[in-house]
Amino acid sequence: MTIRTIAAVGLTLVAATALPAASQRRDRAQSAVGAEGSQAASGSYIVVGSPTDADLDRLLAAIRKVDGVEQVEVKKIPGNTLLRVRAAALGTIIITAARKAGFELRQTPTRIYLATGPTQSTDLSQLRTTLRSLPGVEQVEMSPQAGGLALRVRGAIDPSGLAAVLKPSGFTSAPVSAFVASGSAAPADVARLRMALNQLLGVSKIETRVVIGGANLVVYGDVKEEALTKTARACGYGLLSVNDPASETQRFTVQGVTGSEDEAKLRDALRGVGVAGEIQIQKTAGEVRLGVPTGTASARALAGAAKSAGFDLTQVETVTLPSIGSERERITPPAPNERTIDEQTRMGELAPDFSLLMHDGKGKITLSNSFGKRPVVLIFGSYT
Amino acid sequence: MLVYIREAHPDSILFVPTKSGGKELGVVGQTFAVQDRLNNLHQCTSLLQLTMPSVIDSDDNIVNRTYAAWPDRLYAIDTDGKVAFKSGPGPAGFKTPDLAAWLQKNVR
Repeated sequence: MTIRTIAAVGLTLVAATALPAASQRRDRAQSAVGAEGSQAASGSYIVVGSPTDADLDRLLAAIRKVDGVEQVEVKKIPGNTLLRVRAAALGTIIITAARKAGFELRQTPTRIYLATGPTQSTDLSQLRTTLRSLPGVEQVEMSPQAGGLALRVRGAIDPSGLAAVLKPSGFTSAPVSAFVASGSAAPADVARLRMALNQLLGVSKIETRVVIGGANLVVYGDVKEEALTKTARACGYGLLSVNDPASETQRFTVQGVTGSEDEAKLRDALRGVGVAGEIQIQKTAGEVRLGVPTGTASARALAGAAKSAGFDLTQVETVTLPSIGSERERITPPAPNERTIDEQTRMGELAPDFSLLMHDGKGKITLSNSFGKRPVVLIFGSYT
Repeated sequence: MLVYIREAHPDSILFVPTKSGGKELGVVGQTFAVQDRLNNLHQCTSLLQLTMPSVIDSDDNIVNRTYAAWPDRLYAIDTDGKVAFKSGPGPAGFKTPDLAAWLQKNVR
């Protein structure tokens, strides 16, 4: 919420003043490519594009050319093609390289399911193991609920595929999804929307709450998001999918961490297996909690790395079903793997120069052209 | 000067401006290309009524990375082009009062 903060405090900005260019300072920024550090991270994506072997080979070749890529592979599973990458930096660089090769990459989705069935008489750890072994499934967490289980499944798997695996154990399952409907907040309009969505094939239940700017929705049932979106649009609403904030972090309790040296040692161990985002270590009364971004290393790999460094990790699985809440705006967790650790700027040294596109999309501002009469304030940030 | 970089919380649902001058809830997605970043910048400056000079980082995010700027950060560059104020990395280090104090002390 950076920019909102600035707007709120009314910070006075020092305008850039054109003065003779300091050409020797230019292009330092351009020479500083590859500042993300040497630790590799792992990630997987769903490949959207031609599924032929020749085209996928072209995709692999394009990704391999990206600086810092250590390993890349594609895997075909029923209904999807997955790309797995281990690289110094994920995100933009990988996605851009794929686009240039004619492919789109999508993050593997995380879905919440409500599974109703005999939790008392079922070996849940065996069930978890079975689910984790499904093609395309990367992560499974489960929490007992009244009459069943709440499941969080990360991976490229169809809800019907998951249901088929759970059925022999006596469970019936369906996704539970949260949305914000942007539009009228009039109760009568929201009721009309609810009725229309309820009629869609696969929908078993809809919960709604009117908020300023529209309504919060929770949809139970195996129904395509496209069908929900189309129906909502026909009712005058834009349907916005709400991410599950808890899906972005793997949580553990830690045994063996007593001081800051231990924390540093644990962080180093986790970085060693590819964790590139922020590692949260939180001490509370009686226990130490660890939070690690998902998608970079499996829970098993993390536990193994910690064990080698002398610490015991126990995964904490807390899956909660989406709720209609009362929030108007939803802030997702911080994007993973974005922070740059290397500090290339130094107090008292020349600021790396840059020349960037202005808000009009036409002109450019060159930082060094602004030096002279008054200091220049740089506010880095984004809308979110 | 606002330097618009990668979104900190992509896919957040926030109020965004409408063409008719109102506002509605919308998804603010991550930016991978110049046009995406310009769109988000316009939404941001329009809704928050910002008038400061603003630029977007290039699609290779080089300035963001060089300044270790994500998710947000404050700098002041003095008249000689040297780094004179540098906040900690955000969000913990993004402290506008510290920058305001520096400006009051160093700018007339």
